[in-house]
Amino acid sequence: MILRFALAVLCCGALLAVAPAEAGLKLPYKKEGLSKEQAAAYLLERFAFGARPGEVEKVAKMGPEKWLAQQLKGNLPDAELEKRLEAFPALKMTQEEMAAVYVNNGRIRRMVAKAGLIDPAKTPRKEMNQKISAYRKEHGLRPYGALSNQELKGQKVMRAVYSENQLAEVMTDFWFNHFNVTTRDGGARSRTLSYERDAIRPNVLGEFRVILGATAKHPAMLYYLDNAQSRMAPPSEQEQAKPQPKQEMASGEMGMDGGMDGGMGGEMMGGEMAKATPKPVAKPKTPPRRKYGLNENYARELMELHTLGVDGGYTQKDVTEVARVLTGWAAAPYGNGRKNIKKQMANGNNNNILQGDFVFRKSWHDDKAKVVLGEKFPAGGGLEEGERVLDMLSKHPSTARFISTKLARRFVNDAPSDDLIDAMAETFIKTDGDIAAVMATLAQSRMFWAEAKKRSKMKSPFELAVSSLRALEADVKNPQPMMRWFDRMGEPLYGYLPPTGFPDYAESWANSGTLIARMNFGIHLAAGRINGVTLKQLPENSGLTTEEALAMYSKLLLPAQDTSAIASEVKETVPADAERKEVQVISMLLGSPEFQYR
Amino acid sequence: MEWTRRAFMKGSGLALFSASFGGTPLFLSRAADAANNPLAHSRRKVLVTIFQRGAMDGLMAVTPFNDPALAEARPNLFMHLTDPKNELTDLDGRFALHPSFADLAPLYKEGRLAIVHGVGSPNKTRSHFDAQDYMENGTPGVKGTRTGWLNRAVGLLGHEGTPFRSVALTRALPRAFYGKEPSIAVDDLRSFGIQVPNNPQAAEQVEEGFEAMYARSAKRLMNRVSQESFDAIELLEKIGVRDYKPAEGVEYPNTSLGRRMQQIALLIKSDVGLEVAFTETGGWDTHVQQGTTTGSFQRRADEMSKSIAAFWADLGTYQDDVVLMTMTEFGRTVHQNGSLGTDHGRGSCLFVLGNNVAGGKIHGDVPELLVKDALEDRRDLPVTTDFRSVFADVAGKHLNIDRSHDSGMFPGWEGERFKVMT
Repeated sequence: MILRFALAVLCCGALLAVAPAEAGLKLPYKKEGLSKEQAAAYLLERFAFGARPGEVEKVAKMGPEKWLAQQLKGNLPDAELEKRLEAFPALKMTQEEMAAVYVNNGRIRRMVAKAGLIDPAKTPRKEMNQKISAYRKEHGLRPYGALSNQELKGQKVMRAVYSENQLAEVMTDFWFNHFNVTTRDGGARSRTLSYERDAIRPNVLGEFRVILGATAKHPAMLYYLDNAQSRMAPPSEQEQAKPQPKQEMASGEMGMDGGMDGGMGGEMMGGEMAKATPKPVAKPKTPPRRKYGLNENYARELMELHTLGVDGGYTQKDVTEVARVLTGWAAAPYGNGRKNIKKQMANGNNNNILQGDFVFRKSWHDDKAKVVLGEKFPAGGGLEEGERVLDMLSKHPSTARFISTKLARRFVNDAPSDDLIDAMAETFIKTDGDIAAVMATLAQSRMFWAEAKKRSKMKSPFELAVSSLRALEADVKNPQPMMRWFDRMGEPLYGYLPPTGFPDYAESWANSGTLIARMNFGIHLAAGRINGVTLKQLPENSGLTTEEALAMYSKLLLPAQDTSAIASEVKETVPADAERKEVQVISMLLGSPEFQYR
Repeated sequence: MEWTRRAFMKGSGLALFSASFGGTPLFLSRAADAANNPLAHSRRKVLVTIFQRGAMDGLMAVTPFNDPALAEARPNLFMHLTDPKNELTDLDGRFALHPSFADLAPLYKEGRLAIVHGVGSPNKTRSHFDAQDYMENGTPGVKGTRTGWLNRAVGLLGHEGTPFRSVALTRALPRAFYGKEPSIAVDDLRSFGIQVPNNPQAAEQVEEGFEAMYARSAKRLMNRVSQESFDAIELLEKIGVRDYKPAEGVEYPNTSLGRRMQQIALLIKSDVGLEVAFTETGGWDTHVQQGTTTGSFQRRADEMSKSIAAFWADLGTYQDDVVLMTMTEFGRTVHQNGSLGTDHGRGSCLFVLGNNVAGGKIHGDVPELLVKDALEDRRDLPVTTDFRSVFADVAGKHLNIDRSHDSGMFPGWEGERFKVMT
C-alpha cells in the first residue's frame, strides 16, 4: 500500500516538475571535446552508480539527453529490483507493524515473562534464551536488529545495484545524508527504514519544501534530533517537573547496532517501548508524565544543516524561536494511543492532530507570539506556524544557495564555482525549489562537463562498491557480507552519528586505513571471497591472457577512458604463470586510483 | 628477544626499515623536517583511552561498602566487605574494588592508579546513544558538533605527526576521532595490509603494483595517502605485528580487548609516533542478572582489568610515557530492578593510570549515604564531576596542551580542570 502510494507520489511529482526541462535538455559535452560515448560514461558515473556492461553504448545510442530526461522522471519499470526486494518483508510494513514484529531483547523478555514461561530474576540465562527464541518462532517475531541490519542496509545495496531509476537512488543517498539520521540512535533505529522509504525516496526529485516537511514530521528525525521531546511545561507543573530519562539500547560497537555479546548486552527496560507507546492520552486530566522543556537541537540543525546553512543569516535567537514554534511536533504513539487520538479527532477534539505517524500535541505547544527571521508570528498559530516557518526557510535565498552548493559538490566537484552555484540557485528560486529543475541546470552547465576529463570526485565507499558490482554484473544473493567492507572503508551504512551526514569531499574518504581497505575490497570481490555475491562477468575458467583480460575488464570498469598507464602496471604485476589471470587483473583495476574516482 | 627500545631499533625497527627501503619513510622524514617537531624519531607522550560502552555500574566497580542505604537499595547486588567470598579490596576504608578488578589493586596501592567517582555529563540524558555521542564529541547537549574531542586534542598538539599518531582499535572510526586530523581505525592491526586471500604469497607483488600505480597517479592526494599507507604497512611488518611477544611473564586475556591492548602496547614500544589511542569494550548494560562475584558484570570487569594490567606490565620502561584513561557514558540506578539488574543512571567512575597521576586515591564526591534525598532525581548517583574537567586535565597535562586551549578541546566549556594529574 505504502509503496504503491509512494511510487504514485514520486511519479506525479516528478512528471510535473520535469516537464519543461525534458522538452529541451541540452548537454554541452561536445563543447568540452567529449564524444557521445564519453558523455554517456561520465553521466553514468555521476547520475548513476556506474555503468553496467553495455550500458555506455546503450545510453550513447539513445542519446544522453533522453537518458537523463528519463532519469529525472525516475519512473522506469523496475521488475528485477522489485523481485529482489521481496526478500525484505519490512519494506511492505507500516512503522507500527514493524514495531510489533521486530522485537528487542528487553521487550521480548517481558513478553515471555508475562506469558509465565520465564522469571527474569531466576531463570538461568541459557534457558531464558532458549525460551525466548522458541517464543519468537511461535509468534512470528523477528530480532530487532534484523530490521536495521539486514533489511534497511540490505535494501539500500539492492536498490543501488539493480534499480533502473539510478538517479533516484543517487539522490536518495544524497538527501538521506543531507537530512541525516542514524540507526545507532535508539529512537531513530527502528524508524529509519520508514524514514528513507516514506520521507526521502518519494521526494528526491520533487519540491524541496515537500522533502523538508516530510523529514521534519518523520518520527526518526523527531527522535534523532529530540524534537519529539521538546515542549513547554505548563507553569503550574514546572515545580514538580522531573527530568525523564531517555533510555535505549546500548549502541555497542559500530556496525553491531546493539548486537552485543551474549545477546544480553543490549537491553531495554521501559526505554525504547516506553517512548514508542507513551501512556494513552485518553485521560486528559492526568498531568503528563514527562517534562522536557525546550529542546533546540532540531531547530538549530533545521537552519544550519537542512536549509539556510551556517552563515545563512539566522541568530541564536532565531534558533530558540523556531524551537518554540516547533514545540508539540511529535511522534504519534502506536496502539491504543493512536486509536484514542483518532477517536478524539472524530469527536471534534483537536488537542492532538494526527497525520500519519506524526502528531501535533497542542498541550505541548508554546502558544505565545514569536518572531522568526524578523517575521512576526502572532499567538495561537498552532501547527500552521510550523508549516509557515518551513515555507519561509525553503523560499529563503540562503537555502537556494546552500542546497545548490551541496548538490554541486556531490555531482560536480569538491569546490564548485560560484557561477554554477548562482545558476542553480536561480533555478531553485524561480521554480520554488524544484529539485529536478535544479539538477537539469547543473547537467546543462559547461562547468559540469568540464569536469569529465578531470574525474575529480572521489567515490564514497558505497559508490566504489556499487559501481564494482554493477560493472561486473554481480548477482547479489545476500548483501550482508558487504556491510563489513563499508565499515572498513569508512562508510558504515546509516552509521554516521552527527546530523551533518558524511562529509562529501575527497580528503574525508582518504586515509591510510581506508585506502588499503578499498584495495582489499577489490581483491576479495575478484577472488570470490565476498559471500553472497557472484560476478557474472567473471566466469570460472575463461583462460584469458593478461592482455585479453585487460582489454575486456578495462572496458567494463573504466569505460571510455585511456587506460594505457594502468595496463603496463598491471602487466608487470601479474606473473606469466599465474592461474586465472583475470582475477588479478580485476583486483588491480578495482584498486587502481582511477577506479576510486568518478 | 628482549624488547628494549635499543634492541628494537637495532634489530627490527626503524634502522632496518630505512635501510631496506632505501631511505626513511616519507612520513617520518617529513616529520623530521618539520622545524616545530622536536619529538620526531623520539618517544612521545601517549594517551590511551578505553570506552566502556553500555554504562558501567560505578557503584559495583568501586563500591562504598559501608553504606547501609546502598545495601538496602540492592539486596541482591550489594557486596559486603566482611563476606570473604566477595574478596573485595578495601581501598581507603570507604570504597572497595570489585574482585574482578583486583588486578588493578596493586597499581592503586603503588599510587599510579587514580579513581574519579561520581563523574559524568552535565546533560541528563539516559540514552546510550546521546550520552556516548556527547562524551565523544565533548559537547554535552549539542549534537551538531562535527568533530570529536580527541581529534581536536590532536590538532592542539602543535607538532607534526606520523600516520600512527591517532589510532583506534575499533571496527569503525569512533566519534571521538571524527575531524580533520588523520586517524587510523582498524579492528586488528594484523589485517592492516594488502590481503590476497587465495594466494598470500602474491600480496607483496600486488602491493608493489598498487604502489607504482598510486605513485604515478595525477592526484596528489592519492600519491600522499598511498605512500603513507604503504609506509605504514611496511612499518607494521617490521615491528612484527603478526608475531609480537609481550614482555616476559605478561599474559593478555585471549579476548578482543586483550588483543587490542596488546597491539596498542606494540605500537607504543615501537616508536611509530602513536600519541592518542582509543579502544572500546561492550556489554556493560547490565539490566538483567547483573550478578556480583559471577555474572555479566564480573566477566566484563575481569577482561578489562586483566587487559589493563597486562598492558601496563608489558610497557616496561615506556610506562613513563603513557597515561591510560577509561570512560563510560553514564552510571546505573542505585536501586536494583526487578530482573536483578540495574537501569540507566547518572554518575559512574573512571580510572586514570600513569606514573604522573595523582594515584592511590578516590577523587570526586559521592554522598555519604545513598538515600533517595541524596540522589540525583532521587534515583541515581549524582554527577558531581563534569567529565570534561577530568578529560581536560588528563589530556592537557599529559599531552602538554595548554589550559588556554581547553575551550578548543571542549567548545563552550569554561570549567576548571579537575586535578587528577600530578
